[in-house]
Amino acid sequence: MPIPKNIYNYFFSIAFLLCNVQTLAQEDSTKQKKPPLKITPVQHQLRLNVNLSTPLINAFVNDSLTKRSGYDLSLDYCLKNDVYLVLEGGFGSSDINYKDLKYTTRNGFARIGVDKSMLQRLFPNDWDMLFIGIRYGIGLIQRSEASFSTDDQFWGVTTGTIPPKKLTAHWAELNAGMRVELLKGFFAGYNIRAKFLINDKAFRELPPAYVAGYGKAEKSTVFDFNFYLSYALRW
Amino acid sequence: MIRPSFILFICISLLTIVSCSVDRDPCLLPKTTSLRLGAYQVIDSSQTVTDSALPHPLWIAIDSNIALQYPEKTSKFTLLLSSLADSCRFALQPDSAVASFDTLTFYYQRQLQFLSNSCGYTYYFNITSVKNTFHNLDSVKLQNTTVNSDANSKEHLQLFF
Repeated sequence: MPIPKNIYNYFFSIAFLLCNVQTLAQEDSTKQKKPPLKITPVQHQLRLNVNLSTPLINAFVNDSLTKRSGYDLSLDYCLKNDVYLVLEGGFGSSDINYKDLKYTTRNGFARIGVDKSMLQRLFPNDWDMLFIGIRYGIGLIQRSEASFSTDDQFWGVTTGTIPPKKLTAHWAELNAGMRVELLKGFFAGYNIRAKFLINDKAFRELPPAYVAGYGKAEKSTVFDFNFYLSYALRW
Repeated sequence: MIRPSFILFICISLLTIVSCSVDRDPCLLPKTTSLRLGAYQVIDSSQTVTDSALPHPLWIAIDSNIALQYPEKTSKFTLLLSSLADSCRFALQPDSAVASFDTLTFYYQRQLQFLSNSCGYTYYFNITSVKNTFHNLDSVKLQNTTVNSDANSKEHLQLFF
């Protein structure tokens, strides 16, 4: 499967930024001539994140021509060095009801990846984070039979159907975002996501107008924003 | 601990919700697939081909009874092939003052073409042959068999009078 070239650009840019942060930290420590004070967590943390923005936005913008829904949860677990292992999953659907094109889609999706917190801990139980991360996403899509019509001034309306199809979407993501602990164990935060469809060639013939977890399948690059409320379990 | 950036993310959240929309995007691709024809004549002495402007020509799509009357003298025409069948017929009256028609029958293969979710589908055509009568026409020459939404492609059919 061909991978869009700009994915590499983004990955290397992020890697380069991380190197710079590391270098600056080293320079500061040299000037002060003190070993860097590294605060490590004393507990394990597993956090459940509920995406509230996607259902909310869909509730606002659905109309008689387009209905879409998407729900997702994510779990993150703090590994060493403020790196979090992230598992995300969800499902959704879309209902396209244009005058000349009608079909429905349903899909489930999963994402796996890591986030790296860029925020230095102020104390061991400081779990606030400003992070960047990467993901691999997969979506299993079922598109219904589509009906279409074409219209011209000479010959009138022609109608037809396109058979149903099962599709699989693979995509890569760059994430940036934050989580702030508002109350003990309760967080709010957001993710900004740049998504890159890896197998865009599979979506040339009637790509779903909306794939939960990804977005418009006819676009090979999609930007998204998710607002999360989270609860953390610590032990 | 609540950091100042918490305020920032609330602002971003609100802006995002307000700016989001799933309205159908406007269709920015050409949907019409036109058959382009030109009228020509051959000058016998030099065998050069020149445009032959027809006075008030009339085209009739025979199977749909749609007539296309050109009000001015012209040598360039645009027609639409039928996506309902693999052939269609047009009658051409080159001069509105002369009650004489030629019939052109186009045979083609239809190809369903997805444009985008915004534009839907259209049909492209591959012309396999053209048959005509010779009341006014001398001959026809099929130059370009592919009829698609490319308006800059070579003219499809030359009509010689």
